[in-house]
Amino acid sequence: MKDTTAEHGLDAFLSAYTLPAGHFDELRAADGSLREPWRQFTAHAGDLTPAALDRAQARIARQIHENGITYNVYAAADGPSRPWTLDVLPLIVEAEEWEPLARGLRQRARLLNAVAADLYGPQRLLEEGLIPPALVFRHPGFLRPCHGVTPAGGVFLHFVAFDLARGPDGRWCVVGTRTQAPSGAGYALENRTTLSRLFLDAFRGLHVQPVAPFFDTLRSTLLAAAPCEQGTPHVVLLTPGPYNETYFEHAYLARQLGFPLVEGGDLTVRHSGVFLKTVSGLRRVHGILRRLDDDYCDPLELRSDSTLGVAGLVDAWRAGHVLVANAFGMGVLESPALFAFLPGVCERLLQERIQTPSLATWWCGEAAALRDAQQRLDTGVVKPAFPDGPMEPVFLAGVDAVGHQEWVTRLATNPAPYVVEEYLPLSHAPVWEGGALESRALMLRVFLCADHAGDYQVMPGGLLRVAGADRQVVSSQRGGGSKDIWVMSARNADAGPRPERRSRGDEEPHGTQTTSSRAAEHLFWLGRYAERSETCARLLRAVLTRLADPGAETSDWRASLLRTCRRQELLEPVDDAPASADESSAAVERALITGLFDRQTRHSLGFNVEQTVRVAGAVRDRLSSDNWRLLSRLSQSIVEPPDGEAGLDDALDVIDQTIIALVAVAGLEMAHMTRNDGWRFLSIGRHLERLSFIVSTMEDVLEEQSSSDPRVLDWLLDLSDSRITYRSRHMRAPEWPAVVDLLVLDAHNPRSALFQVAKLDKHLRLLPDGDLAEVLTQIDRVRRACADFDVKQGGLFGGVETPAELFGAFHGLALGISDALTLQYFSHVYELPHATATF
Amino acid sequence: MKGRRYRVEHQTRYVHAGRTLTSQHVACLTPRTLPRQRLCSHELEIEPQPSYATERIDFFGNAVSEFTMLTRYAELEVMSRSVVEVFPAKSQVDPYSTPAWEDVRDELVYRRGARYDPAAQFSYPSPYVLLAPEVEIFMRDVFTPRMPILAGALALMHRIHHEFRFDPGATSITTPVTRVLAERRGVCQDFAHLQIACLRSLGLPARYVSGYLLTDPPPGQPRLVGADASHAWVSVRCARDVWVDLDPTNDVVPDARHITMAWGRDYGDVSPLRGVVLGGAEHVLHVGVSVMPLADEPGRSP
Repeated sequence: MKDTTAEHGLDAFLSAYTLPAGHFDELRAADGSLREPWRQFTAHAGDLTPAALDRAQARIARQIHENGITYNVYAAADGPSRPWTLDVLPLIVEAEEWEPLARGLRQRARLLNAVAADLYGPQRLLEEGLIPPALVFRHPGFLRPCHGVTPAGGVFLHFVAFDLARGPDGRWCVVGTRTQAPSGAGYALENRTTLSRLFLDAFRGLHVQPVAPFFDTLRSTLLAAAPCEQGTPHVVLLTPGPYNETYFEHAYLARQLGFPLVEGGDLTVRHSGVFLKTVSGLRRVHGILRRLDDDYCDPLELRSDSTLGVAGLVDAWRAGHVLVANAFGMGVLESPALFAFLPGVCERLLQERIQTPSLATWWCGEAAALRDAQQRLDTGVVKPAFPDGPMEPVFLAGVDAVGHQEWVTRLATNPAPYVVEEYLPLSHAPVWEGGALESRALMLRVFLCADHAGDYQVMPGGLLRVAGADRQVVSSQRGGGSKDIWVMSARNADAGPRPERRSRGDEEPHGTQTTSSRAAEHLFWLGRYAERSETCARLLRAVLTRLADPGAETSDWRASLLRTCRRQELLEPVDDAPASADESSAAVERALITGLFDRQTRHSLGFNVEQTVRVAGAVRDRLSSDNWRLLSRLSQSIVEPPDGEAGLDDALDVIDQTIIALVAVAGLEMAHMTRNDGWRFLSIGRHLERLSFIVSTMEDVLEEQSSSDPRVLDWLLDLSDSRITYRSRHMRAPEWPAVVDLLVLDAHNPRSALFQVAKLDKHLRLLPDGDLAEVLTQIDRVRRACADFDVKQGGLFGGVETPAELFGAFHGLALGISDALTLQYFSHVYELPHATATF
Repeated sequence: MKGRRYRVEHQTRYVHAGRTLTSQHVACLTPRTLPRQRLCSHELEIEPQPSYATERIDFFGNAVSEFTMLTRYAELEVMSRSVVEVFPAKSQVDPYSTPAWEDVRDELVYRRGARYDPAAQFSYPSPYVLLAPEVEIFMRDVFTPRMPILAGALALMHRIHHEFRFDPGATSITTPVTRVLAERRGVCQDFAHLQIACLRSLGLPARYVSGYLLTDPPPGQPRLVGADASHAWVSVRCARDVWVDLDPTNDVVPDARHITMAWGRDYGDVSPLRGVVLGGAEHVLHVGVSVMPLADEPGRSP
């Protein structure tokens, strides 16, 4: 190999790379040279010049943006959803270092599962004094309604995560335990997918172990454990919903695992069995992978003020009718106070010595431990022993003398709620920041899942979080970033290196998946909002390109165009506008352009596009990543208006971009989505919206039909994207009857009202088990009226004699269909459960 | 030995403004069987008929019924009927024979490998019994050094009874102990929670007991407060396997007039009936309780 490392490798940055004393350096050995994995990375990674790293970082940022990877900082509807940040450099771990660590973590997972079985069973650990009763009975995560339950196969923990930190001596130790619903595995996979493409040669050359097979194990473990008498078990992923900070990951995992993503309101318990509310009725659920913490899962037995869960879920689980992963009540294992007792418990339960150490921790409720802790108060960290504890961790080294004395007193008088931890200086790794390598503290989250043999499998990799600019505190809530972690294969191993693939679901977003009522409603509205955005954009384009025409201000066509804009509420309605309202073309143009970017007003293009993306987010597990990329480009064009006051050029440019993106979204729906119930609801939403728009616009123009100005009809054709069709059929300028024929009655024009009705008819008949007889009759009536209708002479059937009546019939039909769908398929999903009054 | 037999009727009615879609309920309405109390019969009558129901024994040994309504209703009535035989206590625990409160507390302190006492679980704060500085201020000086635990608990009960007014309108079940302390009034649940908080703030185990009082007292005895609804009191742990009940609302040591239904850490573990309803709009709750001596009881006229 050519010796280019000196010029292009990381060596070039070493002289300027510093880290605080007392921290383990992930990058360099004691003599200042690169550690072995980094030497190998440099040899394989090719160009590592600042320019190349900047390019790579920019590519990552773009991919993250387009894939819509976010971490919602605050779990609120309007809270910021921050793009995920991934550093360009991975952390590389050699197999020799990883394997013992992985063995230790597997042992720890088995141990915690055994502890769970004991605490929720015979409680011998309490009887024998190996675990203090306070750590169980005082912990809000010990759920008494779950005592005495043995889940299938004795597995309480199907999916566990440990937070690890590396001390100054280079040894990893466990600093945190996640046993309820660990987050981060999806982000880890997404990080891997992004980074492995970026450094494909290094990825291959280092024989990095793939992480995707881990998810296959998780999937097959859950499918095997779900109680199901015949056929494939129906396993769902339960999410608190789009406002949760890790919702991106829930949708991502649902696709990766091929499990439908559901919210609590989608599930119901009947006769101690769990069912999903689908558009074809209740469908039995055999397994739930939950991303909802214990407390929120069942308002009946756990926390009554929560509306996120499923009433009766605990009872169904207790009855053994459904797999819940993880079992309820596992929060009790997360207390840092347990660390001190695990070595003894391990010897008692597994007859083994504990392999991977925990961070040295003293629970102050134990007199002997309190004495030890008091010796360490100068440098230690005080933390709550229980999650309902009173405070954030306190680094005692940073506390003044008075504060210090307060802690001494507090721990002496009321020790039980606290633990004292040894302060561990975290290891540092390089991140690429502002054109230089900077060192940042890091913490690693490693994931394990139960396998079929009563053991656990470790994901070779994980989620590595690095501190933000202050370089020390590692927390996703507080900023900072992430890194991919590469675990090299053992020498001689046949690693079969290949770039990681995202999900099998990616190519086939939702196969024959059942459609929950909620998903159906979201898809229906996705169709409506996408279509509404497009018509809105077309209308704006039609107006803005014509306003400056000579003679426009006094023409008939302008009046009808402005009337349509007002009805669509792109302009203020006449009733509300002051009498002296400026009706000049310049003023109208300004109002339209300003309104374009206004996301607060209900009918603006900005609002409709935002709603499209929002609703799409709620069914993200059903959209392909290509589809999502288009949508995020779409929102970007509107969300980020040009600097300063937008001119006509800017506005038209945004409108064109928007229309192109929307057409592409619609094209993907037609070309790539499986024709299942979900797609059908999406299409129904589109056709219904298009029908309403055409008919309303025709009504607006109806008043001008006597006008001889052909330009009225010209913009109407433009709006309906039907100008070319018209021209190909009629050589002369547009005439009212021919336009009505084309836009309303032509069964072959995909923009005509009748075409929408025919499509709606077809889709509605294919919907499952609905009682839609009444609307179908209504459709027949409208179709017959159309067949009979002559634009010049009117019609006879169905009481339709004039165009106005015909348009009225279309409106009535659109409303009837919308109501029927709501009643049949969408109702009750949003009804929130509430607790009964108590005495 | 034959005790007194009582018929207990506990009616709960929810009247909704609209019709419900579905609802699920958990009832803790079955009196326990104890050395001095025998459950002769019990039935839960639910109108309309539930779609299905199950029964189980909870973590504290209470009998719990769960039922689900899939038919829509505007009014739900749950009638719990029990016949309970109560025996007079063989002997009262002499307060001055109980151990010093410090010894009870210290015995529960954790030491590695030492014997474990399941009563420890009742010595920690719980959702309705949070420990606050106000609690410690209120009970200051009640437990003097080396005071026998039951003597201290009785003194505490007297203090609560004397300093607080029974006022059914003043609090709801979500009123925190600190507000009860500030306003010096409440109902039986509040007084029970307060006394439990006081005891636990010293590290002493105390349970919340839910139960009933005899509606009409035997001749010559006053009518007790709290008889027209389910009642609540406290059980304090005096020695291994020795728990003594105290009723701070009436300032008495419960006797044959008290019927024990269930116990737990606090109200949340043993609320008689709770539920989750989908639909049905607003609702009001009506509760009625009657506890009558059975006519066949010897030595008592009907």
